[in-house]
Amino acid sequence: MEDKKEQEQPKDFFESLIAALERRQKKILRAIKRKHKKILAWAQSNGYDISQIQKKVGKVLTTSALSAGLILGTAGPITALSIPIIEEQRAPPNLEEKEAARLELLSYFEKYGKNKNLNDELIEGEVAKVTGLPVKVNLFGYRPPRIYGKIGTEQHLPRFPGDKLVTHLQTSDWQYSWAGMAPKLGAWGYFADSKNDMVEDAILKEKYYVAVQTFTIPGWDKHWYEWKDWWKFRKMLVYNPANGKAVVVIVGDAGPAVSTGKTFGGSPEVMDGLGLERGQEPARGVVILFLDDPAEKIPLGPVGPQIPGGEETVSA
Amino acid sequence: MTLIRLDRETLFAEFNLEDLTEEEKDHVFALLLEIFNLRLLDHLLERLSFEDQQVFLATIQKDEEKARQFLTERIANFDTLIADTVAVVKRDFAQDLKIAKAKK
Repeated sequence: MEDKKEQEQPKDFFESLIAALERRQKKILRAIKRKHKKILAWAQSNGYDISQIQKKVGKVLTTSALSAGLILGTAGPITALSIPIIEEQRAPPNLEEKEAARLELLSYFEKYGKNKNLNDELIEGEVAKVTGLPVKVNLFGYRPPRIYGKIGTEQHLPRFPGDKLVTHLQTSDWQYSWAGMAPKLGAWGYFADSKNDMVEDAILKEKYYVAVQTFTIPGWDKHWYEWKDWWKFRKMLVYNPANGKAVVVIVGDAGPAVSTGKTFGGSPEVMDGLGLERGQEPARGVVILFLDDPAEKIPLGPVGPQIPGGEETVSA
Repeated sequence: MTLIRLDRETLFAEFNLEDLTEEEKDHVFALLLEIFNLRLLDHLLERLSFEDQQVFLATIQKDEEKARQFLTERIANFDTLIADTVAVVKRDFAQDLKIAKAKK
């Protein structure tokens, strides 16, 4: 009986796998259609077929791998690909330089933090120096409504239909239970379709989410439908100049309300990663910048190593 | 130098899926390649301006080698981008496997 059950499992498993892959394929295709609406409309008007383009892209790039003399599998160009990852040649971080960059930025925000127009280049450069990450104020024509401001703690967000604080904490740390669960969904909806779909990626997205006031972006009321997919779960870096701590996050919600006087919101895990204790808000602000990570190589969560001297200047 | 592989033989061994029949492997691998091509297209379009997107799509219809050259000129670390895309597809595949196993 047990043997029979074991024999039946691969078929069920195969069907579930195919269903999961087909869902993945449709999801990516939908995202492409939304994100690249303008060029796809242009392609269509010129008689180019997207499915043909997609196949040609794969073929062109496989040819690229072949021309580079790389090792390929046995099944022919489109069915095999093997590419080298060239390890980064970057020198190990110099802690003195990092600390100097942190202090320079801290001093800059003390003088100009309340200004509407900030020095994008300086902020980008100094945050990149401290964290070693490819941060951008502007990415593909988009920019955050504000890049510097106060951050407040947000509640946990429902991740899938039926998610409650109890189910939430099965995959989260109990030390963050005090924040409670938001009564409503985040601005972009659920992180997964069901509890079974709560894979690590979805768990981490909710764990390390921030709220950004996207609704204050000029033209949002007119273009929100066109822009929302670009912002949904967009990867960013939050950086606390007071101590040099940073967390890689995604935009999981829109907020906080302007009337709160805060510019950003962060999950309890994000606040912890920024070195802000429970309920503590920084006297100074934090910086939020885009991360240019199209291949999703940079993992969500706190960025290390931290600057040894940074802790001493945390503002209470 | 690290090699990232996305080929039929090693993929099923890497993910302990050697028990699937050849026909099932073909089906899974065909879907994975479509996903890979879609991801690549997405990553490429994200990194090109609208004008460059137009040039790329027009070129790829006529001359695939020229289109490849165009991409290598326009996109920094082009080979790394491809390798990263393979890594993303494999990461997604690992997640889809988990989902499939949970629903088994």
